[in-house]
Amino acid sequence: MENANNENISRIKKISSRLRLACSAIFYIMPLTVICYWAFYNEISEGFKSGLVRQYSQTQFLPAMTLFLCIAVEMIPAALIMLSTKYLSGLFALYEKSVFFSEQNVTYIRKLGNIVILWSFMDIVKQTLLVLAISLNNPPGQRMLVIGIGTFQLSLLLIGYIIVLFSRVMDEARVMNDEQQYIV
Amino acid sequence: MTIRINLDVMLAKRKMKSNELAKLIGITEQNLSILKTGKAKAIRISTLELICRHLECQPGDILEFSSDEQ
Repeated sequence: MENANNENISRIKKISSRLRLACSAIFYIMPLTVICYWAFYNEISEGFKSGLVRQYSQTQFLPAMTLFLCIAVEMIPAALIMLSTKYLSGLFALYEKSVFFSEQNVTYIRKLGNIVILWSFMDIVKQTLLVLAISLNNPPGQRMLVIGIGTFQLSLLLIGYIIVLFSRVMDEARVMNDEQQYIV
Repeated sequence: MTIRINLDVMLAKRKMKSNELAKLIGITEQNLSILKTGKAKAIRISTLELICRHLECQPGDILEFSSDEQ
């Protein structure tokens, strides 16, 4: 029984270590990807080009100003993803130290949930601003302002609330764990 | 209202050290210290039984109720 428990903990530590490294990598790769994608947008092959540009821009060649605006807009969700990977890294670092039910764990999970909820709203804003930026070069009268809610945003909202709920359950587990420490 | 833990007294009577008792009953010295200092929120019946067995005493010798009015 104890051996199985130790084995499980060592497995948690190993997986957490890998996930922490992956999160750290995503933290740096994310903004670079966004910048590179839009900076070289005019040079990349057709298959990788944004559907929004095809749909809302009259020209497929985007000027530097538009690309800069696209980078700025795309950095909104990218920043949220970076922040969430930062919290996940912190959480996995705690798991690596066999800290499962501390106040810090609860804080990280709650913040992660809040970020996902915020992401669902910011994705709507991002979509609107991106279409505006892309269609900015269209002749007057053909510039677009689109607001839409899709399953992606609703899913994010739902996942966010589930994570926040999970953090509250974890908080209860933390209280029980604290009490357990004083049972001899 | 408090439950006082007289473990120190019993240990002194039996001339036994805390670490010896901890080893005998199979708990850490840290946990025994939590019990001795009255920080414990609960004590397992099995722990109490082992303490009583090794200190040759009754639960009442270790746990004492005292009300604030007294």
